Amino acid sequence: MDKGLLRVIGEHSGRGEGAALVTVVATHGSTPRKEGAAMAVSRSGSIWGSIGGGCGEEEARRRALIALDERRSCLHSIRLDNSVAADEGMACGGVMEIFIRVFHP
Amino acid sequence: MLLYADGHSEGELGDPGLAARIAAELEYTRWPGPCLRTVEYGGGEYRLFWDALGHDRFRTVILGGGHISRPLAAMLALVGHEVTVVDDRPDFADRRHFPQGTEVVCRSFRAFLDTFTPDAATAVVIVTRGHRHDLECLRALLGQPAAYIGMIGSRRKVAAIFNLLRDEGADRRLLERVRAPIGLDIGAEGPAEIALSVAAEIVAALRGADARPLSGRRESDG
Repeated sequence: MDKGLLRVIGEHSGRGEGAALVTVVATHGSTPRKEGAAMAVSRSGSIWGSIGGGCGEEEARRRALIALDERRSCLHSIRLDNSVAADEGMACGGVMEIFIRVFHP
Repeated sequence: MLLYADGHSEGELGDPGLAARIAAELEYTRWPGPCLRTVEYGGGEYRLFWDALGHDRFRTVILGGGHISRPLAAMLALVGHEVTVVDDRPDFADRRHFPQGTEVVCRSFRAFLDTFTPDAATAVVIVTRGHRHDLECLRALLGQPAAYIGMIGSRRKVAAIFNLLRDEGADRRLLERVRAPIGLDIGAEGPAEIALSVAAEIVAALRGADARPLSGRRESDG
């Protein structure tokens, strides 16, 4: 894993803001990134790193913001064949399982 | 939970018995890349995600600062590698020839290699100006745990150098790991295309891929 993401999380925690680490822990079918791809999400919604971009990453970002609000780490499945992505011509067709780890300030 | 290479661990998983069980199980397992593992413990099943810290950036060391090194350093910097270029001639070990952020070392190859140990996230490319230097570099690198060691040269030159090293008693299996002649067969013409074929081979080696066309097609298939 990219140590740069840990630095980002450390800085946000140090400033009392908290941050979430989103990691792809399993994939099924075609996905833009594989296991181990990770991104950090700040409380303001900024992203460092990438888990593949597009609608899947946007959904993961939203989930991370909710997890930060609820102060609860959690697992989620993100389907990349949803109709919005398909309409955008961006569907890979697979499923990514993500783990959202919340780091409290 | 954090596991260190020397076997000790930090953090907890809520149950010291579970942590000890996992530490013992992983100590002698080679990390296969980021993965989920299932561990049965106490009548239940745990899913664990196993990731590694420390290999955040690949590194490529280019021995020789000539006409292939410049485009190769630029391409590898573009894909995010930490790049080091070594040459013993000040005119060639000139940082103006390389992208910003490239480490440029002006030293003899021998002196550099004496203090350099590649690891499993490091590629080494031997592209010095002459066979004598190439041979010297390869001799120093054989048996080092680099992810990739490649050496430029025609088949004839490569065979001559390998024969010499075999006569010196070099292990055949170590020589077989050396990529020489260097690069993928993309029909490269000229320094930039050769650099592209080498950069592609390095990425494939570091990522554990076999560099087949994703379509499965070969030109000879028609």
